[in-house]
Amino acid sequence: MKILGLLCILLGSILLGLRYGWELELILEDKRSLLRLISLLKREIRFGNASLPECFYKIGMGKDAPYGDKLRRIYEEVDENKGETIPSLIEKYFKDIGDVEIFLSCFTNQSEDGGGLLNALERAEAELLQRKQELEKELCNRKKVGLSLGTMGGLMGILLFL
Amino acid sequence: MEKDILAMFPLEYRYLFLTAKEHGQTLNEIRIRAGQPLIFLETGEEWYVDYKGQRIFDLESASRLYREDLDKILAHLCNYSIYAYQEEIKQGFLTISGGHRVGIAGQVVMDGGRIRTIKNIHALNIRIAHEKKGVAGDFLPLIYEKGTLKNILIISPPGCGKTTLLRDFIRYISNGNSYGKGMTVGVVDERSEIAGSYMGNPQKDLGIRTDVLDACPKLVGMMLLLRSMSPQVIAIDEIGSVEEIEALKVASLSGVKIVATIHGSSKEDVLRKWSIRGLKLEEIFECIFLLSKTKDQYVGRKV
Repeated sequence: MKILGLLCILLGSILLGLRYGWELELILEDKRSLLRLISLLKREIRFGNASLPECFYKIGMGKDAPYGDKLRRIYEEVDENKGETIPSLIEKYFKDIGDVEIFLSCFTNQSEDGGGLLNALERAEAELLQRKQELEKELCNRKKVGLSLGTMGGLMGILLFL
Repeated sequence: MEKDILAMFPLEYRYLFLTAKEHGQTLNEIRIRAGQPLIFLETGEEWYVDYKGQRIFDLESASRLYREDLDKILAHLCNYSIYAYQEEIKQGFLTISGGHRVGIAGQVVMDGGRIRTIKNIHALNIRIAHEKKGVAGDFLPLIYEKGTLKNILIISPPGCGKTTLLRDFIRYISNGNSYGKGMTVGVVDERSEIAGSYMGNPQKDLGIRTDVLDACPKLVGMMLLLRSMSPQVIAIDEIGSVEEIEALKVASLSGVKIVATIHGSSKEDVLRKWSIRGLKLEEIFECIFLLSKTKDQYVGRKV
């Protein structure tokens, strides 16, 4: 009974740790994809002077494009021109993505200065990068804690078994 | 056309332009100034809209738009990509889908004597582009001689339809007509007025054998076309410099036909003005048209 209880606790802890880690990993993946999208947007703007719908189309058509499907849908809706603004479309399609407000802030309040959007994208990139690093640090710490707990649990189990 | 008018504005403002959409065929301009009444100009008549978007003539009840509204409309016109329109903004206008032109007024930022940008934009003048197909039809017998196209010059004061006539000439020449076979036409559209190009794509029908160099300076564009697209005809709008005429002369001597427009109110004035600078336009152009406006009617004649 003792062994069974111990195993249950151990298994539960491991599963809980794995689930939390997996969630963190998903959030991290979102950040990585957003960062990649920002980098691709910057490239299209800087080197192609492409307008946003053009950028979305070009990036969206790319192989393994981050959020390619969403970008293509935004492009299609802009092309139909039902009057919805690009920020509202980004909000609509990216609402389930973590930290989308940082990304969205780039497209609202654009100044007439040509560098407006590029500067905003740079700022968003820096902020997302910082959050990503914090998360990676947290994930790393959690992994260490999980590993320590697992080792301790294992040791305790061996002691109890003996 | 009617669809284009609504498409220019974000959803939240479209109700104000529903009447303009209905009058699309005759509407010339929509003037939006920050804090001022929204003005619609339609063939010599000025009208406004009330808060419901209904057409009115009473200035007191006219709807007004403000700076933040103007910013949103401008952002929408630029597809939220103002950075991509910097070169056009510098020139004071944007060409949008449908070939319509949006004039811009605001604070001009200078850099070493050149315009860097226009910021704090407080006024927009949306000029609705109308394509009048067939206006050049009556002049076709005059521009050909035994099936050979002549070099054509259109002289006109502003607002008399020289670009409209030029566009129609291009279409007829390119497609071919009962007086001459279809020819390859190269258009240098410096201000995106002839083809009304949007994102490089001509929005106006310029015929099946027409190549357009959009937003390209005329002088550079003519040489580029000659080198790369081997046109039989070169068309340009508003000749303005000695160098441009010299380039036209070179093109003409190399066998390319020319269709061009120039600002002026009479043939004599124009010829005299350029002969002072040592250029004889009559040596290049074999067929000169003069456009004028009388009582809301546009008149064109060969001079």
